[in-house]
Amino acid sequence: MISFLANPLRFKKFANVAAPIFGLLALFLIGSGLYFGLYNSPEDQLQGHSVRIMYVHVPAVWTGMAAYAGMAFASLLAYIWRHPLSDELARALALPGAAFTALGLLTGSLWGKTSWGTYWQWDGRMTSTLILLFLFIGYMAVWAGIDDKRRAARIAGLVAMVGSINLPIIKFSVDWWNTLHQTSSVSMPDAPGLPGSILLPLMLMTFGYTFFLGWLVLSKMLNKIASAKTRRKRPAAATTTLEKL
Amino acid sequence: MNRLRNRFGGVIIRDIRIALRSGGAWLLGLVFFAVFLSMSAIALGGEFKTLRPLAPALIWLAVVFSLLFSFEHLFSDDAEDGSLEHIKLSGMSMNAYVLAKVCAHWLLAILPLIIALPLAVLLFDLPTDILLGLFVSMVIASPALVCYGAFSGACLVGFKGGGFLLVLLTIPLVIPVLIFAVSGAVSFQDASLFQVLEFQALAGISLIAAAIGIPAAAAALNTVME
Repeated sequence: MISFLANPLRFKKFANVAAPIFGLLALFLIGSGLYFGLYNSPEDQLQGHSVRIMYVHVPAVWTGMAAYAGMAFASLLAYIWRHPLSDELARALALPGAAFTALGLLTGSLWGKTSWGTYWQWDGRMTSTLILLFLFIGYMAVWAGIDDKRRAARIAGLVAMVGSINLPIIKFSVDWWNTLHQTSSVSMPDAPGLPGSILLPLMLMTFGYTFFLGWLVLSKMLNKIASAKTRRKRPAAATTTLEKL
Repeated sequence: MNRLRNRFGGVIIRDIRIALRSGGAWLLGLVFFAVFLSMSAIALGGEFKTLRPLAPALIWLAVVFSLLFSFEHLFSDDAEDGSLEHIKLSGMSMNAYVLAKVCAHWLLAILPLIIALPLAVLLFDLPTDILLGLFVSMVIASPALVCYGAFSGACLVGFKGGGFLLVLLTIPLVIPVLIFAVSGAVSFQDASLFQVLEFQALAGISLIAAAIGIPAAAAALNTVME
């Protein structure tokens, strides 16, 4: 699969077909997920309607984490085989990943206000998500700040890989720190234990978000390929001369 | 082998010599450390009662920030004046070069802070066991700080105004160190050295940081000369 798509022409053909399909699937899945989540699912016994924030919140964080994992994996591929498409894939994942993580934090704090009574808590999960957002921002800043794009790709890839090796350590340390300080922690119900009426919209939204991410990434990469092509073209000959001016 | 050792030591001695001739610039990290601590004491009201429980965290923050600002020039000076190319041409492996730079930086930036710790503890009227805890946590955690800092510094060679970005890149990697070091320093009081769980974790993080940070920094430096 990876070696098949490594050819830019084949990738372009694939992406031209897949991007609109992903986009339509995302539209359909998120639309139906919103319908089931907002209208056609039971409200929580304790939290009332505010539990519906979950359908926006949980998939956003999951997709953000998946985007980081994909970014680190694409960086590894690019580091080993020096494939420019792989660099573009990693780069294209960064902004949507950061946006999903930020959306997750934002909706999480709104949900926290209604159910815990506070916008923010230094809970292990929230802290590690915030650090994930910092990692995304650092990665994008490296891309933006280094002029030589080939070098920027190498450095950003290193940053993504080192960050991904450290993520488990960060997660472990923050959880450990949190249990030390906070005795009463509010944890979410386990996903497999959820009833179908809640699980269905949650899954619809998760797949919808994933396809949305896929659509964003593929269109961005197509865009990059097209602009790389125009850059390689010779500029058109001047039609006017200095004397005429 | 002998020549390799000479080169390795040569890089360390050269760095120390440059620092000593810099007119005291290498001690500015120490000055920053002192200023940060006094500013925090002033901002927090200056009462020992409120300061004492916060002091280990404040001292660790001062250490981390004074180090973070020191990494910006760790490699960029060598890259600018061409010594990096010479090192590469000399056949010295980039990993050995980074390791030598890291050792020199430990001597120049961290050792002064460790020596200054008793004075910092005096500022907050802390008991001696906390001083010991801070001392041990700093010795165990410092390899992690230097290796991750060296990685970020190597990434940002040739980056204009990279100081803030360096902090942004390094902070996520340093958060576990901060967490374990502060609570280790506090819980050291009534346990022997290796019974403190935090110190075991810190030693592990330092080893991982050396194993990842040094090759990653060497790879980042190699991109400068591609």
